[in-house]
Amino acid sequence: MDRSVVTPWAPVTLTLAAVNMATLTRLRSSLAGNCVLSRALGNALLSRATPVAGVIVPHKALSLTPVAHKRIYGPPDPGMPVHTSHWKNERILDIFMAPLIPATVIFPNPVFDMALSTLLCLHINWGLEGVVTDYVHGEMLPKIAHPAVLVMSIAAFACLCMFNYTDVGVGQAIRSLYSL
Amino acid sequence: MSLSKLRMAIRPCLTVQRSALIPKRVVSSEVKAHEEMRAFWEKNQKLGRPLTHFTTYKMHQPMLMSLGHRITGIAMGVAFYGLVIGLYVMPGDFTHYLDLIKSFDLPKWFLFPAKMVVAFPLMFHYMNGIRHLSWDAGKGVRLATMYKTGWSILATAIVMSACMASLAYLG
Repeated sequence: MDRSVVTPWAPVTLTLAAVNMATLTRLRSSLAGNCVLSRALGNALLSRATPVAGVIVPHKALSLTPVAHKRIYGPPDPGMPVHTSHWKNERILDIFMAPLIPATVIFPNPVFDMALSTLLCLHINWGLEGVVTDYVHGEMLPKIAHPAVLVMSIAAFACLCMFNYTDVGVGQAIRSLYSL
Repeated sequence: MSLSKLRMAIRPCLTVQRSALIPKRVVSSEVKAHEEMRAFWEKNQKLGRPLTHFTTYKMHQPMLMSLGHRITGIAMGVAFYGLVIGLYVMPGDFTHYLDLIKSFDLPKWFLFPAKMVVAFPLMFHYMNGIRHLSWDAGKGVRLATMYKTGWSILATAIVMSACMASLAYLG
């Protein structure tokens, strides 16, 4: 496609992508964690059995009740963010992504392309953020690394949206490369 | 009759945690769990205790699988971001670069392993990711099962990446 047609739309796409990613990343534990849909999906897909009272470490770690959680990890610290809902959301995203990857390659279409792009960027963003949390220590470095990951994710998502809107799309791109 | 009534009367005292029989220390230690954890790490830092390097431990399959999961994840994530942003920044579109690769007329003995090398991390991360999900659901966490699934994932990832690489020669 002609680049000159595309360029005026670039700032709009970038802004939309930035808002999208920033919202999803920042509000993941507060907003997404309390989302009814996310809860229902989490309960339907992930929880296995109700834990038995008095067990120190339940076999099914996913179905921790607040009481069991308190017993193992202590009470929730008011100064610290709650990460359990975020952990759950990551798993839900993975479950959706698993069939979507082969589906996009086998049946490339704009809907699958956009869905896969969004999920993939979120997955990579959370993954890299986890890596940064694990390995980047010190006073200054984490303060640079965490925003850097977010900025790169936003930029990549914006570019990916542009690629899907104006170019062949993710699924067709993989197909073309592997039919060389 | 009277004995069972007595039992019923004292039962709450024995079952309720915050009865007079149980000292209040239990509750307060629960409240302090986070503070204790913080104090533990602060003490470690103050004393300058060395961290155990992971090379201290003998290499074993689950450890290498976990390491491989991370490495493939980071590599693919960074490469994907780089490719996508690069494709936007560069002047040509996807078809232009695809034609450029086609114009090199690369031999099959190079293309096949190259495609396999690109496909393998994805297959490995994908399969191992599904195994992680099954662990999260509480299945397959026994050590013997872990070794078995680990080897089968490695083998399947190699076979599947070979299948991906050979797709071009089918039709």
